[in-house]
Amino acid sequence: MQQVEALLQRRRVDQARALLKPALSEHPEHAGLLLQSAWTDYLDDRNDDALATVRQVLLSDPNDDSARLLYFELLMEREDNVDAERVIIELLREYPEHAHYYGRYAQLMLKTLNFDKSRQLSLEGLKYDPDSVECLAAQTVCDFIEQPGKTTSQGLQQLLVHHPQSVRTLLLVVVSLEQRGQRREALSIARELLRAQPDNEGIVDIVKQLRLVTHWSMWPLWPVVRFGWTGSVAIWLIAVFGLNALRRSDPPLAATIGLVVFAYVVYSWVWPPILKRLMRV
Amino acid sequence: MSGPREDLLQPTLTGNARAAAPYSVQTTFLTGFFGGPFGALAICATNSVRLRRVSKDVAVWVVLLAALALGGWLLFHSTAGADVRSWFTDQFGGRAARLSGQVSGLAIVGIGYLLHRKEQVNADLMGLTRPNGWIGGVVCIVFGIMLSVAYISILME
Repeated sequence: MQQVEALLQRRRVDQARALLKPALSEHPEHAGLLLQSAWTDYLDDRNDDALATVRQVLLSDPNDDSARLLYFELLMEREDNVDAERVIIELLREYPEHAHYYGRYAQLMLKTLNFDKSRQLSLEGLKYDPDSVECLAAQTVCDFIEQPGKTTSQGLQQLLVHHPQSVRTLLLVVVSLEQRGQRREALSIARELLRAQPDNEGIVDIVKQLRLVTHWSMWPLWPVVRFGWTGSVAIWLIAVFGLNALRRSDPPLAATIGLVVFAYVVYSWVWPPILKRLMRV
Repeated sequence: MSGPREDLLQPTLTGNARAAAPYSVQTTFLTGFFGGPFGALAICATNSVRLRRVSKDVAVWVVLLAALALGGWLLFHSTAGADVRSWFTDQFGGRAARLSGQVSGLAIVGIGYLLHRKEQVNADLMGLTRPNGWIGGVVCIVFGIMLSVAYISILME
């Protein structure tokens, strides 16, 4: 069981499963083995199997902390957020100084758009463990929500000091760089992350998106990429009022520029989706 | 060390009080652009309902609705309003009415974004599933256009 535990900590799911299989066939009712099997399924994105197994474990031992935490994670994955909150509150009532639980609860609050409570929970958890990666990550996301791209997040600074190699930390660095418009730098870090975790779909999506917005053919769309819909509105207002003024003094030139603006708008709508389809990570 | 704050261990996600992800910025922007001020108000108010922020936002939407009603009335029933209409028509010709609807729609979308900015960023960062923008957007656009036409015809009587 200790070997499986060590493998799960390194996310070596296939090896853990290979070790568990003979042990479970010999002791099919062993709660510890069943729980490890459930964690293995969860880490392997087989959430339905994991949920069935963890329910079986909880029937025999409703107070198993690891099983309850896994049950919370699985409920959150299924977006059964009310039940997930009930489970994590029960855990926190029993272990009120467990920073990891505060961090996971803070994550649930972020998923349900309760960022004020998320910040309070992460700050509470940091009282008990100032280096808690979960609490620092939640605090960093709260910083990004409140002041995107404007300030250096204290949570992110702490993550970089205490957990510089963590995938979580590096993903948050990518988000921070992207929010500040430093997309090429964000892409280079995201590519490194992808090399380390080539099967991680979330990282694949981030790399795809960053490759798209940093492609040379996207430079004419810089105002839209950098400033989003605010940039689009500004371009539209300039085009409408500028062309209207120009039409009075030089109608042929206004007509030509009008065509260019029209082509630009068509390009901004048509080209990015085509490029996305053409691109491979 | 003191224990945890009791208020933090009270459930937040009770049955009917759960917030849902708002319509995306793209959907609200396009709805304001094509649906005019009433379409923009409709989609922003829908976002307030989804985010369970009605009590916080209702005053803003009521003030904007009143400003639209009053502004429209002044535009058609005052000398200054007639001058503004005349200048706008002189500048933009037949596009004047459509353009004023688009500008006011986008202005309302901008106010809505300022109110819901944190929720929009939160939803983006957490990768929350957004509601189908085509359905909500088209409904609000059609509603906005119908209300604008009805309101202008009342004003012009």
